[in-house]
Amino acid sequence: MIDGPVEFNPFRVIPCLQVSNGRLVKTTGYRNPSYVGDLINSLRIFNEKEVDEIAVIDVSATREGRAPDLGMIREMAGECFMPLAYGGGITSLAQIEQIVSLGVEKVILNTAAFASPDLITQAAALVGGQSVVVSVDVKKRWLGGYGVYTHSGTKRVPLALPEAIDAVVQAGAGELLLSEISLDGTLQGYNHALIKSVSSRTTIPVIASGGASGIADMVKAVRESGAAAVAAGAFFVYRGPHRAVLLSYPNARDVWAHITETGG
Amino acid sequence: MTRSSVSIVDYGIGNLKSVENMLVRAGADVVFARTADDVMQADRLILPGVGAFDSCRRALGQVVGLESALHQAIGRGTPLLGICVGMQLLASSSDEGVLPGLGIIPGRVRRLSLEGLASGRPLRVPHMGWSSVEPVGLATLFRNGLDSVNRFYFVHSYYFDCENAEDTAGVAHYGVRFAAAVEHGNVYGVQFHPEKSHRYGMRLLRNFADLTVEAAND
Repeated sequence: MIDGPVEFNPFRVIPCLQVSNGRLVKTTGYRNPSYVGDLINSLRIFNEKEVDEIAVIDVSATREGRAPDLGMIREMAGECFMPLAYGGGITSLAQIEQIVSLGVEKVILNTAAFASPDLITQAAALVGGQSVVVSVDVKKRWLGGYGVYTHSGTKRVPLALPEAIDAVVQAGAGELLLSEISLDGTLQGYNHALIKSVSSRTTIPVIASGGASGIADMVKAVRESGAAAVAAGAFFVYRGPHRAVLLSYPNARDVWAHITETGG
Repeated sequence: MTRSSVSIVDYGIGNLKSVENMLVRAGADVVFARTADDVMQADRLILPGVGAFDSCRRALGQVVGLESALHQAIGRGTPLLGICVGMQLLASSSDEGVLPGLGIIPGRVRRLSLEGLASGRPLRVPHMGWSSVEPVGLATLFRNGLDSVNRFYFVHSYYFDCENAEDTAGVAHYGVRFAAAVEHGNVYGVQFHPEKSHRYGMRLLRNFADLTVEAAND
């Protein structure tokens, strides 16, 4: 029996798309981007599917030392009649103001957030903390614990994970997008222990990301591991063992059915 | 029939582009009201708002004559829709700030409590995500289908506690049962973001764009 409003998901389910040089791509472990399709067409399709929210990250901007592509962002915002979050190459308050004025609800900071947490504070004061998402990208360390990375997973921050979380939360981040880099694009399932440890450390919403294997995995991330929302990339853009491109989004009824099955 | 014109009050606050995009999609003509004169000449007004109550209130006070123009326009029947903090500004006061509200709809804006429980788990504030809204009373903006099925996107830490129950036009739940929509004569407010709520938000804005001064006075 389904005991909720089945017209929509019980928590936010967020396609997290990657773009490189204006094209929609999908990486594996933040590397080897493969072409998925046209960005704007893909956004239109997700808009028609009435997704809860969408995130787009320009994975080449910081790496190539480029500022956010405002023309592309304007075009993206014109297609999204749901909340849109943008990340990639953001380094200044002026850029954040411009991006928000184009019709983007949230900015996602990573490299700049850890290099200068002041930017988080200033951005929160300018556009509201709810619009400032910090992307926390982690890798397991040989001796246990996690390293936190910036620059698309290539540079390690000199802070342990708990201290890195505290730093960005204290600076005023409104939300954390938490990803284990090695799981990106693998469809192997979220790292639930990681989600649990981060979401129990803070009261701001944590979005689980990296490796989503399916609806049951998403439900588990929220109901058992404490995430407020879930994001996925490969799960929404590929289908089948040969990774054929097919954009999809779960039916809310299926999400509720998993909750009922697990007695959640 | 001519297209409906909707004026978005631009007082330097908020993501006006998203509201404009959705109004255009809903078939309305959009203009921006940046002065008291613009407000007086508007057919319909949307008052947006994001961030802190006091910073919105202060910004609104900085546009010469804007506050009295809003009161005058409302007084002669111009439909006005407040969105998010724009709705909260219609209240008399807020827990979040020290400045008074516009006092157009009696009530106080209160903080969502972390004490509430959802499915046995502690609630996080802000309330960020989708909720359905149960229309109550007149619920003029929930006509044309929104009264049977709807879902809207919310991002808020405060909610409008109406002094008069009859001013509530829609309720949602997040720890507490709260006014997700208010309606008082020709003045409307929604706590959620219709501009980011797919076809449901489009329908609500279309319903608003279809209002006229005459209808508001009947």
